Amino acid sequence: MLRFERVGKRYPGSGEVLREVSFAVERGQMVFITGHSGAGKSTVLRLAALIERPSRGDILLAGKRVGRISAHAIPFLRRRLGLIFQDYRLLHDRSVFDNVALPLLIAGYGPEEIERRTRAALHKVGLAGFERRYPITLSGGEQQRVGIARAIATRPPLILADEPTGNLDPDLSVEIMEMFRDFNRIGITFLIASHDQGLVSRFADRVIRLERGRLV
Amino acid sequence: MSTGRPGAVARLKRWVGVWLRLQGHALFSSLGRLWRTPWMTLVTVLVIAVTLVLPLAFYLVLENLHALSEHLENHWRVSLYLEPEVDRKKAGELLRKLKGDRAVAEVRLIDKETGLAQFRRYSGFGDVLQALPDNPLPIVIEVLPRRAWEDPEKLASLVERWQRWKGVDFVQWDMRWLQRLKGWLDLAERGAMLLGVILGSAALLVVGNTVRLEIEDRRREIEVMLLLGATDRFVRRPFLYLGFWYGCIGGGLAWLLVYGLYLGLRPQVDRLAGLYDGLYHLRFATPGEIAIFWGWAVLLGMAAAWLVVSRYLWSLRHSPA
Ligand SMILES: Nc1ncnc2c1ncn2[C@@H]1O[C@H](COP(=O)(O)OP(=O)(O)OP(=O)(O)O)[C@@H](O)[C@H]1O
Ligand SMILES: [Mg+2]
Repeated sequence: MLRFERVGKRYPGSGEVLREVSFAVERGQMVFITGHSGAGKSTVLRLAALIERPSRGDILLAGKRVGRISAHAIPFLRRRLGLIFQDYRLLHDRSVFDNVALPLLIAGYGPEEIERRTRAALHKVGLAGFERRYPITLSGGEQQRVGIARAIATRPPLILADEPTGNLDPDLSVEIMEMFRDFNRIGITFLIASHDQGLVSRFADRVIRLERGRLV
Repeated sequence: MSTGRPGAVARLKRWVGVWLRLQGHALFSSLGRLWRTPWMTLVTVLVIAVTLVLPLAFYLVLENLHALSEHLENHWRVSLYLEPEVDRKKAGELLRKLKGDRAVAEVRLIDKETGLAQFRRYSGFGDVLQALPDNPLPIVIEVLPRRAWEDPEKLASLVERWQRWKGVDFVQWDMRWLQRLKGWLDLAERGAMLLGVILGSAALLVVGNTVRLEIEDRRREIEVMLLLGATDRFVRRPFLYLGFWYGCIGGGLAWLLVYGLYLGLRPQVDRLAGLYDGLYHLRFATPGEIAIFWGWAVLLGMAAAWLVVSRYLWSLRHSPA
């Protein structure tokens, strides 16, 4: 599903943020990345999401080498990924419905299909009936569920989540993780960055531990 | 198995369907955005219109002057003003002499009375003349040269000859200033072209700047859309339509303004033309000209938007995050 081959990364003007990182996430797994702040967790996810390019090594997504792929191909690869962020990244001038419908619109779905899939996604995260609301009128947990609905709307095989519960209280965090596990059981692969040891040990199939840019 | 063709057709249909849907969505959502900030939209559109009015008006004035000069050119008429003491009989001799000239196609004698009547009719100074005891106007002979002499140089030599005849006070020939006018018109046309380019660039900058502000406003949205797999084209599309609407509405408004100017000027020009033959009428742009300028305005708006968005997307990729 996703494979890092001896990946190294340095940002312009930074030292080596990642060094010789190799791992593979198999289909249907729920994998966590942990490590101290600054260990490189977000960097791994940004590389997997093709937001950044590796300085060394290569990355394989669904069997395809993507480390040096042309910029024109990236949008189409990204449509097969679901991205979830710590700060939700919702658009505040659009309704919940329009937020969740956005990736479907981008992928070129027709209006009926968008309507159907958007409602289904909102239903799955327990937000049926919230379509006309605006993100600011929602609680943090509800906002993150909109973010999750947006990520699953196109039914991607792989979801990348960077500290998805970083801004939520422990109970809500568990609720979100349980939701992830439910999706995982119907076949979606997850790669989640988190430094919440409790959550990691409770939900992880596998843990990738980073320490100052190296796998341990 | 013959599923290959229908499959390809179905794919093409789907692709066209998606394309049309996305275009339609961008077209109307961008119009909606303009509607949501009506004052800013109005000001921008007015600025664009005003920048475009000047070259348009200039173009029309030049076109009209051109048409007028062409129109006047068909009148290769020479007027011989006779000396005041020349009488009807002496004038008749000159008339016959002119008729015998192989350069002359037609001659017409305007005697003092006819001249006075014409002067009254056209000049508006009739009352002044009434106050004079005598008719002060000379006899005038109008000469229309033959086609072969309708040439400034040849005509100039004729005029020079007639000027020396006894009894001729002076010979007036209007083509010289017409030639000069045409020279000036050519120059002015080049100036108008330059003005058009300069003001067109100004309109480009206005649209570009407005689109830049809009991008600034929607930075976050663009960022999220790119993360969700939007292509550059998808991101660019609503802005292109924004440019489209600015060009379309600004260009349309510019034409309306120019038309207003035209309506305001027409009565004066017609009155002026009436003093001569009344044969010339102020002309407005043809539908074709309107369409071409309008199309240019739309293209200008879209080009400005394209440049600004493309530059922004480029800078997103090439600046250290
Ligand atoms: N755009 C950037 N330019 C330069 N250095 C960067 C950039 N992004 C991250 N870094 C550096 O890379 C290192 C790893 O950052 P990263 O965000 O991957 O850590 P993290 O494990 O996600 O930390 P946290 O738990 O605090 O989110 C840090 O030292 C950080 O300063
Ligand atoms: Mg991080």
